[in-house]
Amino acid sequence: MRLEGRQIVALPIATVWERLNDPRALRACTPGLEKLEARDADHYEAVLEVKLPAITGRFEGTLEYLERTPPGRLRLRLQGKGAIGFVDGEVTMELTGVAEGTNVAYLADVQIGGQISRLGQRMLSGVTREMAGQFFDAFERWRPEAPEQSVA
Amino acid sequence: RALVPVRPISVGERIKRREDPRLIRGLATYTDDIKLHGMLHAAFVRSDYATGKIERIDLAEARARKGVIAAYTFDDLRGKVGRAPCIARPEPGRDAEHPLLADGFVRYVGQPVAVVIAEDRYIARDAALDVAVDITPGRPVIDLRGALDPTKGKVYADHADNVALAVPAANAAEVEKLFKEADGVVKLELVNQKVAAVSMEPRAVLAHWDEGPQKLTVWSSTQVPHLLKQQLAQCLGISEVRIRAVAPEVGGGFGCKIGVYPEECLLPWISRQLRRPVKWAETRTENLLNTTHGRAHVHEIEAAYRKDGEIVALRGRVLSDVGAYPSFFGAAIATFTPLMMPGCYKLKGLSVEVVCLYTNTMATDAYRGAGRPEAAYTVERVMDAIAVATGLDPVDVRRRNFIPKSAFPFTTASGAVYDSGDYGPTLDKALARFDYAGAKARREQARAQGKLVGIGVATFTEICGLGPSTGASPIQRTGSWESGAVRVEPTGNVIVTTGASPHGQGQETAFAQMAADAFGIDVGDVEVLHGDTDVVTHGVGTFGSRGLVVGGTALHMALEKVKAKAARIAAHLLDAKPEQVTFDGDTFRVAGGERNMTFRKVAEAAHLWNVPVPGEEPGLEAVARFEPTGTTFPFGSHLCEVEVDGDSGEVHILRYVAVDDAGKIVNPLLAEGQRLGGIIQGLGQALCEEIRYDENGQLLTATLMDYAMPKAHMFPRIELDSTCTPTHLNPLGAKGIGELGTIGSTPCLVSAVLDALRPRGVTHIDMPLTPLRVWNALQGAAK
Repeated sequence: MRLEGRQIVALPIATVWERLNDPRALRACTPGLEKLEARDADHYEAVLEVKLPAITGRFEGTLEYLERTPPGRLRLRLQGKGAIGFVDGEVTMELTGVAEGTNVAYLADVQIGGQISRLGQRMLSGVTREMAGQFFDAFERWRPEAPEQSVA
Repeated sequence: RALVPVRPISVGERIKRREDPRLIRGLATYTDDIKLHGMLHAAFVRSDYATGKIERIDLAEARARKGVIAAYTFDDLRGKVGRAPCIARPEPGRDAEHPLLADGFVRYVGQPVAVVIAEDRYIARDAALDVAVDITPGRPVIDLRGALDPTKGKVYADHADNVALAVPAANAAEVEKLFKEADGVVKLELVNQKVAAVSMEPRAVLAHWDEGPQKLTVWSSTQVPHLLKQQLAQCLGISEVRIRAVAPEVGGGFGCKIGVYPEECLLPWISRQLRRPVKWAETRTENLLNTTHGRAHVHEIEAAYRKDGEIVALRGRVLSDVGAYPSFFGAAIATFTPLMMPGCYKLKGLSVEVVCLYTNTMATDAYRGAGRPEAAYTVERVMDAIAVATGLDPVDVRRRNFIPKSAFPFTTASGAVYDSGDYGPTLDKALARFDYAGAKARREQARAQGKLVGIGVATFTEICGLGPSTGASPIQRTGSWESGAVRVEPTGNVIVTTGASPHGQGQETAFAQMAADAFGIDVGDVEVLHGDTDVVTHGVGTFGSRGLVVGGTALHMALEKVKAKAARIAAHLLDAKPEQVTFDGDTFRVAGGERNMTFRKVAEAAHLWNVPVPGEEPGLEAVARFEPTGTTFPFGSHLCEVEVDGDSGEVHILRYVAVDDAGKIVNPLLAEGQRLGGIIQGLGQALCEEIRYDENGQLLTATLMDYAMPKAHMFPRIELDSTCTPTHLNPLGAKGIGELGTIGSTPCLVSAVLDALRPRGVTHIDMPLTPLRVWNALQGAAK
């Protein structure tokens, strides 16, 4: 599944860059992300709970920074596996400063398998888009000084 | 002499289906409706990967869940059960066996890996999610054409390539000569896409091992209860006399319920382990994922023709995607395709190779038409291409090549022996009903206004009622005959049993009509039993349009046997010689006298036996088996008119006329129902249906939101008419009708859409003709 989109975040590009590289921000803003623990600066162990119509499941896996090129190019690899299937994909993000803040262009190329992939393609892409929206909403509101919070 | 009241003859009458009231009112009993005391439920853990090595299966968490009774992997079955049954076995080196649960390796998404048994189906499904399966994925083979190259990947590492079955092309040199002599050649590469049968009732199995009498009863949504029983005996090592297979109400099969599946074999074994009944009913997603698919062909075909529109010869290759393992009949299906490629045409030569290839997808098997729709689609596309190449009318091209009535029985270029046919009048009737000349004039007017209107035509034949049994393999245990039995009660009411276990065809109605007419009793006084191996004498099942052709003929033979015995009894009681007695429909009469006896009186006497009949046994019943000596070839001519929306690519069917010839008809209402359903199913393939996998072998069409089924609003009223050219191969003169519609309608619609698009430069399109496909074709042609 390929997902392409863009999102205007009302924050300066430097702040967006900083947060995208801050596991605390990712942890707090990603819907359902229960755990994100660093193995080293670029490798994290992750547990993500996904709630979809008619199916709920937990993915255990890894998040890896493949590329960080300031001021605005990031490449991440996500791998996860659980009872309802597996996810394996790459996300590329390109940041550009715009008048309203920062334009985040993202491209995700994800292999999905197992039960979750059989839910219906339209439902899956809808749910993924909704999750991306939730992520960016929370991302904009997140404050580094605030206590641990979660949008899950 | 008193006038004998004339009894109405019911055969040939439009009698409503006796099955329908219970179906409509929700009073039918399907497998999943059956509840037994202590019944458990199974849920399958299925592979998430198209190919890979199983590293670990952990059942501990599932077993610990409250309400879970047991969980099994292949390790529990090893050496105790056989593999999934297969009749069309590839040769050694190309053969592959399918274990009931994956044996260390998975080869398609959805392959059963483990099974969990619980007190209810919801616990079972939750527990199936508790099972941890670690698989190291490999590189799958998904694309059919890609499977030709083993260096890109192999489904079976120990095979030389991905070929399951290869049948070389015959007559290559002779056909080469015909090609050289021809005026021109058209070349086509056609995709006959993979589709799902989507029977309204998905598969379901309930198995009950009864430890007391040591008897296994299996209820299954199957088209072939007797074959199921024989296969279970072989797979489980249980004597067939201790197995009863029952097909209760079956909500559609379309071929996908001929095969005996791993789940069907596994549940009886589990029931015997646990000594409790176990049920499994697949979900719709499982149905789309793991019930055999159909079609999945690519044809590379060349046709040699003459300027006057004569088709001289065909040559090329049929590629067939058999999926990840040899299913019940799967590898045999594509062999029907070259056999039927001559269609209704007298071409001189045919040289077509068949290559069946394994891919890491669900297996394919019979699907309404099974190999013949693929042939009809290709040959009809060829006829249209010849019409375009020669500038002749597509109807004229077809008519010019028809096998003439006088040539039957006719041996085709592929070696098929057609029993009977008279294609011209059928086509004429369709053209008249359609107003072909008027439709062409309207098309020109519409085109002048910039509209994309097209007319499609398909003239076709198919092969039905397969036989004789000479090619049957011992694994099959039964040949291609069918059984029918008649039991007369003392009142003269009749119980009929048939081995042709129906799943929507209406045998209960049609066979009751036949029995009623045989003895002059009311249709309501006949009971038709089927689908239970303890009730019905040996049989085979319903598929390949054989229900009436083979099963009905067996019943006819049994009815004749009973009638003959009744005549002998009547003769004795009437104090006459048997040859003096005639039967006038419901009464035996002595020639030249007033003495007579109704059938019901004879039935009473046969049971009461207070006047013994020398040389006869009491009672009135008979069993018969009909072994077909040849196959029947029904045919038809379909015409359709479409308008394509050039902006959206949507196809609107304006008219559809079908004139079919299936020989003699027992019940025109049932026959029309079969044709209508078949036509819509074929149009579904043409318009919207497609099973699609992604490049990793994940099924993208696993729900009815993603797998597009045809819907009533997409079609105009289908106009049906018929002609009648009986066959001499059975006493009924019936040729078979179940698959006819599917075979004609798919090419007919594509013919019309291509005709509509041709003025815009579109010369080729592959199914399904979704708005996107059609729009893309228009955009591509505009460039």
